[in-house]
Amino acid sequence: VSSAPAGLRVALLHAGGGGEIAAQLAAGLAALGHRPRAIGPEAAGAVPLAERALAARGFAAGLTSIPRSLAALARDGCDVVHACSEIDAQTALLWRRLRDVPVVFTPYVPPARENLASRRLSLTLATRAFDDSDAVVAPSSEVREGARRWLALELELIDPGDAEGYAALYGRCIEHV
Amino acid sequence: VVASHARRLRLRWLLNALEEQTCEQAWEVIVVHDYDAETARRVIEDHPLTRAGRLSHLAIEPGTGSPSRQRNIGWRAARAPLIAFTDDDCRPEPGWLAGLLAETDGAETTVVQGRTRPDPFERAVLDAPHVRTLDIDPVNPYRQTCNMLYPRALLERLGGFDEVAVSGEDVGLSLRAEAAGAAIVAAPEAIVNHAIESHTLPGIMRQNLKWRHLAYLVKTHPEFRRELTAGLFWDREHLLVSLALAGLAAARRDRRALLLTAPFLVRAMRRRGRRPAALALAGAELPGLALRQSAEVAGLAAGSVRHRTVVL
Repeated sequence: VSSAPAGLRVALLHAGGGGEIAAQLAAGLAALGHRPRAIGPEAAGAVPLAERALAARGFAAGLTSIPRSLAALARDGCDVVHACSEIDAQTALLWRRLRDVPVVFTPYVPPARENLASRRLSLTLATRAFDDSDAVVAPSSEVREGARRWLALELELIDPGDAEGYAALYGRCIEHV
Repeated sequence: VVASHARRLRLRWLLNALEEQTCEQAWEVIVVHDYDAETARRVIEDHPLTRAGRLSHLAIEPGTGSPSRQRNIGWRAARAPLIAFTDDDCRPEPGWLAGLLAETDGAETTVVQGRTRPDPFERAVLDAPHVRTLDIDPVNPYRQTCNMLYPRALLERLGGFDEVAVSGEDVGLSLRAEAAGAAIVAAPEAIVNHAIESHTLPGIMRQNLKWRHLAYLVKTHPEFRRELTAGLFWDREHLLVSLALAGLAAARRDRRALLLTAPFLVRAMRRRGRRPAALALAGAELPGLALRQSAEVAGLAAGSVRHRTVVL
């Protein structure tokens, strides 16, 4: 049973990937009477030219999506930000600093040694996303196993189809903020 | 033996790589660290190597550690006759330990150095202007402890690492080993992948400050001076930037002295390649590079004064 307030405004950030999780979750949350809003690459994607310039200097992909994602959050506001990628988690954490809104992070790909430090800032972004979010949840057993092996973290597993589970989690996060 | 500080995630990755070792002989891992109990539990105690009885750890008080001290604590706690060292920013290949052991001959005077290369997983980071990594084709003069194997008996005879040394303690140990009759042999198949870490300019300048203590190494091991460029400079880059600085200083009196900056400028401009885009990038990076290398030379000059021997 959801302990979240009714009509919760949930921003589902997936500019850095994880669109399937966001879509599945949005449908489930809407069915429960909440007001989810998916913010993906079409609304908050990376800026190709700047992205190419940063990539040439070895930076992690997707950094240029952060300002557009922040603008999208500012437009409509929200009660919870749910990030589906490490880049989205940076946006969410910035937004929390501005608006004191809880951040839930659900990595859409399993953490793996090959990509955790593969580019400049990659490790910093991953560390912040996993350490600083109010809640980090694995959407699959693969993600949970990757977090255990490479980050020494034990994550709770909530399937993206379990909207009630996520709504309850949002409620707990709001209580703690 | 692994000394670890402020790298809990990379330590975890190292332990994962050690778990995949193919070595069939008995071996154990000892980590000496200054992490809090909760971090140690998550990263080390809950690791599969601990459950397999192959991993143990020793915690020291935060702020009391140094690579030398931690490695000494580690090898003294070890039970094996051969001690392999690696670092917490490294990822050994599965055949690493077997590769090191293949070059040992049972003699108490055989020291083995493996090959270290920038981690292929992190190669993109090399595009950053200020990076730190290691690329070692054994045997090199510096005998970095990220990939070395010493007989325990030799370590006992030498008293281990010099804990007074802030940097260069690994070279110092190998020089004392050679003086005691040891031979350093290469193990090119024992591969360790070293992290490639990108830093800001102030960050890398701060980190490189520790190299000023290399003067202590040269003071205590004068024979190492033969490895220095022109017997005075730590490396060729330091020679070139010193020449450039001298040229700039002398140019007030004679503008021809500016020619002394040419070798540094040519080398710096070619570091990214010779295509127009690479030259433009190198040009953009030139001020930062000059500042960083000048700071390194200045640091070594300060260390030279402190330790009363000149190394630049």
